[in-house]
Amino acid sequence: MTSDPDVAALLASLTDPDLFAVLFDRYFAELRHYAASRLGGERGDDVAAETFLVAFRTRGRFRTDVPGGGNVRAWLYGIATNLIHRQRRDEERRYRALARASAVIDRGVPVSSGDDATVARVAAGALQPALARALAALPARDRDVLLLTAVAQLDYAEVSAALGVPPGTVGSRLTRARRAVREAFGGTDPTRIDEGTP
Amino acid sequence: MMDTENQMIRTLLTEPPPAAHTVASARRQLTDAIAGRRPSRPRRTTWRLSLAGSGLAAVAAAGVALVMATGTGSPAGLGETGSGGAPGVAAPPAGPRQLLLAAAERAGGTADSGRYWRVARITEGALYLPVHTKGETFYVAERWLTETWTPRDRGEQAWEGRQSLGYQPRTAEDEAAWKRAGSPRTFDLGAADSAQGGHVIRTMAPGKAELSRTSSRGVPDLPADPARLRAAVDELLEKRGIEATDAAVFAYLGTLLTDAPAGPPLRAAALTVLSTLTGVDNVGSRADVTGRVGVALELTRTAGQFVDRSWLILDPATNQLLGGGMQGATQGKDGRPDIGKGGKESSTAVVTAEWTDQRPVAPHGN
Repeated sequence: MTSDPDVAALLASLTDPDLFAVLFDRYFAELRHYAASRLGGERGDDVAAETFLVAFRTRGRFRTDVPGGGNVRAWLYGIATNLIHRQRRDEERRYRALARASAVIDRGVPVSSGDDATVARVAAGALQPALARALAALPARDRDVLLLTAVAQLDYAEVSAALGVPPGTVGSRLTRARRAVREAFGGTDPTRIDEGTP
Repeated sequence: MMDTENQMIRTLLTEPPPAAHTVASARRQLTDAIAGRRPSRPRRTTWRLSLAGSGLAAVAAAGVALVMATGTGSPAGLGETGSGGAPGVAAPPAGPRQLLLAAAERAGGTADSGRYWRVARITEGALYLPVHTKGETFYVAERWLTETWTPRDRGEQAWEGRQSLGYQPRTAEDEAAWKRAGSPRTFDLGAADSAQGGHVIRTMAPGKAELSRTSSRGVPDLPADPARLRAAVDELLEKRGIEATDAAVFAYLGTLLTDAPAGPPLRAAALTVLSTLTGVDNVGSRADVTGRVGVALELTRTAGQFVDRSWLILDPATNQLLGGGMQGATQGKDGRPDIGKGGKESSTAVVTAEWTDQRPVAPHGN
């Protein structure tokens, strides 16, 4: 049996559907952040809402007979990612538009303080177009892994659970995506540190 | 640095947070879906979901399921269920094939008059909830009585009755622990609702019986000819990404027979198809969830560390299908599903399956 509160809520919702709303309250904000990052605000709103409807409808298929007993959060990200795939053209159009737009700072995006953030903010101003173009050019499967890692901040095991692919595959897709992003930055990457990864 | 890269991506892509009304609207869509689903057609949802999950990982879905080796005797209200009396314990192993064909014959031969095809069933399991109280830990499961009334005339209204028969300790062991804890009638399952901060309380008392209209499409639209049925099931499974092995077909048709309001011709065809499958074993006598004993025909499939068992229980004396179930979980030491590690299972007893002229009424399990 499970002691994971998400899994417990999901299983309990099989008999008491009202309990499913608990998962909405726990995860809507971050799922919407993820979807909006990939599709923009409005489409992101729709995808996030749809994610929970799909999840509710298919909750009987949630697998707990897997190592770790199932991960509801990763499962939700998997559903959202599938929904985002249906709007792949819009997603890529968004990245191309971002590539044309001017500096991030002008968009009024709040950036939290901290070393990484500061570096990123300075770097992003210069590198934003290249980064956005690289995202638009990535194969969808590689982009999924990259953005589930970077935006949703899932670890390998969670990405693996979300996408239903082995962790090794997650690793190789991520390596490939990162390489593509770095190549896009080219020699202008001020933050570049060779990590010795293949 | 990777962290810097990730931060750059987040910074590039970040959007302002959603408006409060957007969040409220999304939440309302969900709660509407939740509310819309429950009163209207819960049972259909249940069996479709369980079919979708059949195959490895097979599982019973919403709210229904099984207690293995239940030591709690027959559930309340079974006295009025009207289906074949207590069969003798069947020791001599008859061939699975003959048993299934005999059951098929009986299923097809059911009297051919009556306004509704009525199926009543009790389901148990699916979800075992751990209760920690007075130093004891035991698992409880809910038991449901559902009745479907499918009109012979497709133009007429179909009905569905549903009643929770309450929660009970799962196995004899659980029952012993429950007694040591003072035989509580209600179970505090802990805080499961972060939104309200309350505790989830479940009780042994039966719930309110409901009768609601349901779509007559609750009867699966499948051919009643065995060869065509097999082809249709294969296609359905493949469409769901499940390889149509004999084990998957067994699980699917088992669920169809126990959980769907399938009429006599379709039941007969399903039992006939089952008799053609390989790997079905007669594993001897077993009680269904209501305590009736019959012969269990079982098919086990193993894939890697997962093992998936499906079974049907037939009364060899009357050739009636008593019930069935399934289990899917990680393999335990004995090669059987280790449900304790979080797998799932479900079991159903078909209490009544008959043509009737009776008017649909809410179930009265207690």
